[in-house]
Amino acid sequence: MAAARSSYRFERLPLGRPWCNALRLETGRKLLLRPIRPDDAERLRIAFRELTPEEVRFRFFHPIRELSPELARSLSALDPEWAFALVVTEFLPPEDARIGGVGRVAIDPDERNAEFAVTVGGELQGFGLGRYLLQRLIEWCRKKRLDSIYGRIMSDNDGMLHIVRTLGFTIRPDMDGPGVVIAHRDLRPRIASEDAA
Amino acid sequence: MTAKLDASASAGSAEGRDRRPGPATTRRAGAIRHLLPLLTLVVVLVAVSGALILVSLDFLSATRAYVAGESHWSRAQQNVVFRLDRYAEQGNPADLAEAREQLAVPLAAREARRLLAEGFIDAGRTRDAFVRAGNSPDDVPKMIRLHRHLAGMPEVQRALALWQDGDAWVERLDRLADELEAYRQSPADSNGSIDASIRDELALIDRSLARDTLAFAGAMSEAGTAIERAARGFTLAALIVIGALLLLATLRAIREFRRSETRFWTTFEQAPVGMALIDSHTVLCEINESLAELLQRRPGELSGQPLSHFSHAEDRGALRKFIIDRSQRGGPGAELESRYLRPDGSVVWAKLSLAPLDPASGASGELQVAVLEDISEPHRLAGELAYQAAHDQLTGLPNRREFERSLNQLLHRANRARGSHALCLVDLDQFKVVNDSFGHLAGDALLVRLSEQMQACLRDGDLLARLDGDEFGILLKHCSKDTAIEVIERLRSVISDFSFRWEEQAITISASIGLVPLDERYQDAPTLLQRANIACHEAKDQGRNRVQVHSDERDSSRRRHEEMEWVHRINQALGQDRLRFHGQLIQPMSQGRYRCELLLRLKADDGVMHTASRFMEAAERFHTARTVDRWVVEHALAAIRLQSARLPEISSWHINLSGQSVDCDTMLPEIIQRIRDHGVPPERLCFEVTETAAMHSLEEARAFFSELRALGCQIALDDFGKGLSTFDYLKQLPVDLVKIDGGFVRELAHSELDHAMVRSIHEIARIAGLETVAESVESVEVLLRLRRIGIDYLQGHIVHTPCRLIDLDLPRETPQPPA
Repeated sequence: MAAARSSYRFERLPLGRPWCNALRLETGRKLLLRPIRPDDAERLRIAFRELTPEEVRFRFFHPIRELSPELARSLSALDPEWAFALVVTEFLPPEDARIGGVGRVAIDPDERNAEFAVTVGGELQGFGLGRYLLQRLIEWCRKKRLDSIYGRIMSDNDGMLHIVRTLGFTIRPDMDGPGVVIAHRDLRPRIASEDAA
Repeated sequence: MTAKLDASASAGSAEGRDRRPGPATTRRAGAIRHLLPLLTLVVVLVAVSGALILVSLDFLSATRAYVAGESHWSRAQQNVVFRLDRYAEQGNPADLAEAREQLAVPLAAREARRLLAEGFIDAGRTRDAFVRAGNSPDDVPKMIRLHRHLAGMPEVQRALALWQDGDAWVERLDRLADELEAYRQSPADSNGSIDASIRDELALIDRSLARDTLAFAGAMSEAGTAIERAARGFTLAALIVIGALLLLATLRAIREFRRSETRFWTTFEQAPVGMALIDSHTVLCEINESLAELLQRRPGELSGQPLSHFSHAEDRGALRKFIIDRSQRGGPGAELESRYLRPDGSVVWAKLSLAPLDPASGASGELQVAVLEDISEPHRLAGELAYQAAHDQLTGLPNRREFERSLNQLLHRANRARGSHALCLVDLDQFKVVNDSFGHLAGDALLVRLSEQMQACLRDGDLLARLDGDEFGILLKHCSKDTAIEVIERLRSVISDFSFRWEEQAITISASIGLVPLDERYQDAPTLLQRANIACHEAKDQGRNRVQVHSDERDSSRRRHEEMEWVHRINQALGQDRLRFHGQLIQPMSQGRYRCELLLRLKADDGVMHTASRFMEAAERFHTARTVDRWVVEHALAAIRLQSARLPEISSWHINLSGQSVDCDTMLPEIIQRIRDHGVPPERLCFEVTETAAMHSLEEARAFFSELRALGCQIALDDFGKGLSTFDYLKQLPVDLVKIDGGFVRELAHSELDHAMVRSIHEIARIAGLETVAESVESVEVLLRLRRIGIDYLQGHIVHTPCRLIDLDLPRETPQPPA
């Protein structure tokens, strides 16, 4: 974990609200990390437009031109019992702040496992924000006492694969999607103790 | 037993209705046709199951190839895992290189799978990929075939799915190789947790691959097993079906065989004709009841004996020869009618026909089916009929047909072995008188007795036949002319001495006999008979009760011959409608109306018209005059009806009748009927009858004429004065006209005697109240004299030349003879 921590190139400033942080990048740019809100739908759509085609493919496994309002709404209005998402925005009043990164997790119907997805926009990449978002998602899952967390990653998404490998995920191919792997991490205590060791 | 036989018999007949009854071969072909569908099915099944076995073996071998291929690929994958793991641990680039090299195998397999999944449009590339993946080139086509044809099979489907899953692991290995290399090349990034993660993944891949390989091999083996099971099941089923079909075919064949066998034996046993199986030595092997019955022996007596044993001694040789001949030559054969002996010594006629029992297998030495049919009854009837056809019923003598047959036979033989014979025709004189006077019964009895007498005075071997009512034929075989004359003279005297008593009266009779010696110049039968006939007529002409030997040189016989020619021509002319009428006007001398005589003409082959005088004598002599007269009356009436309408001035039409037609019983009613049929007024008809003819039977003639006159017709005595006729006729016969014979008229001008004759005839006629007609008036002098005598009518060229009826016309004005 130490090695992992050293790769962060920002510092966190607590804001006194759960899951909320102010982040200051090495460049001095200030960002806000907070749980997603239902009114983020339009901002998600705007942020989607900023993504490069490769980033879209890494996130959705196939090219999508635009996020539909319905999908945006469903991605932003979450049932807190089943899903959780964090967004990284500009440190501005909410209506002006653009969203630069999203990390989300949704519990499977079996209530034991959760699938995560993390996207960080091009201009915010390279600061370790993705790793941080995934760590916070793991933390949420732990609090929910889930057995495991997993995510689907394109097998050529080297950046993400690096993140999950360093966070102790195991990787195996996804039999349902060619060129997709599933990164999986057990959250149960035995594994956790190993992990801690 | 009976019921069974009945059943099979009715089945047989039902089938017989379906098929046309034909020879045995057709029916046998029918039985084979019965089995043909079954046998075809068997052959098809054998072919299909053979093909299926081959195909399933191919598939089976393909599944093995897949399993072998899979194990090869998985070994390569394990190698890759091992090498990558070691590379992750030790960082030796050689391991990485080795891993990549090994990775080529599963990658090639993956490429092959993808090509297959695409539908392997490119067989060459698919093959290449498989070969790179380490498969034997020989196996590749099988593997492709398996994929193409059995991809739908559950086991194969499962195996293919597993194979496809394996792709993901191979891909991961490929990626991991790259990832590991990347980490190794940037040592800054590398850390233990990444290595661990990667090695974890490698371990996972290894496990998964091992598991999938097993599962794939298992699925493929199961597919193989399933294929094998299916093939085995199908083969077994096919074998069972084939067996069943063969069994069915056999049963059917046996049933067919039994049926035909039963049919055969039923036919054999119950045949109404005698049947037997007979070997080439004529020995009877099997016999039916009818045969035993036919020969009137117990079946035990017949069986094992040669058929010829029961044959009539005279037919035995022929019978043996026939049977042996048939058995050697075979084929459907002729029949042999021969006699068989029964134990009681009686003879039975039977017709034997033979047919080889098995026509297909040649003839020699084989059994033959002999059919023996009792033809005794037909034989007897045929004999009876032949006898009846050849013999006269009344006298029991041979009849004309038999006589002619014998004559022909004699001539035929005589042509080879020369010898002299003689032919006689015996015609009883005035036999009609006997019949008329004493009745037919008397006539018949006389004939019977007489024929016995005649037979008695002939030599042995001479043939006496009754040819016609009172006509007998005699064939004197091997007899010189002199002997013949001697014999026949004796016969004649026997006949003339013969006295037959009937109802207390003695009837005597005589015969006119014509004799023709058959010397070396043999003639055909008709000619000889004709000559005999001529001789016979000569005998009659010369006073009857005598024998006339035929001689070519005699004038009279030549004339007879000509007459017979004429009879022949008349008959022909009647048949071919070559008789015609010409008309000649009869002119009244002073007052009164024209009459017209119809003159009969015969148109010869060469177109020449012959007058009646030339042929009617012959017709009368040979008894065809009536036939001619029938024709004359019929056609004359038709012509008169037609012409009298055109020429009403003609008061009377003259029709000539032969003396032989002067017969009240038959001709008279016929003539009267014809007159009525044609609706010709009888008053306009005048029948001319020659007085010579009328002479023969004065009574008959009187009755005949009276009847016709009663009807309204007139009667003319023709050729009066020519024969030995007397003036008495003019008194005796009821006639209206006297036609004075041309013989007197022609010379009238120069012969005082004739003149006196004509004058006296006319005188007497006038006194008797008759009119006179002078025939053959050919000169003016004659005409003048006739006028002076006071003759009523004139007929002759000077008055009118006979012409065709359609050309007939009356002169414009009555020609006035010069004063």
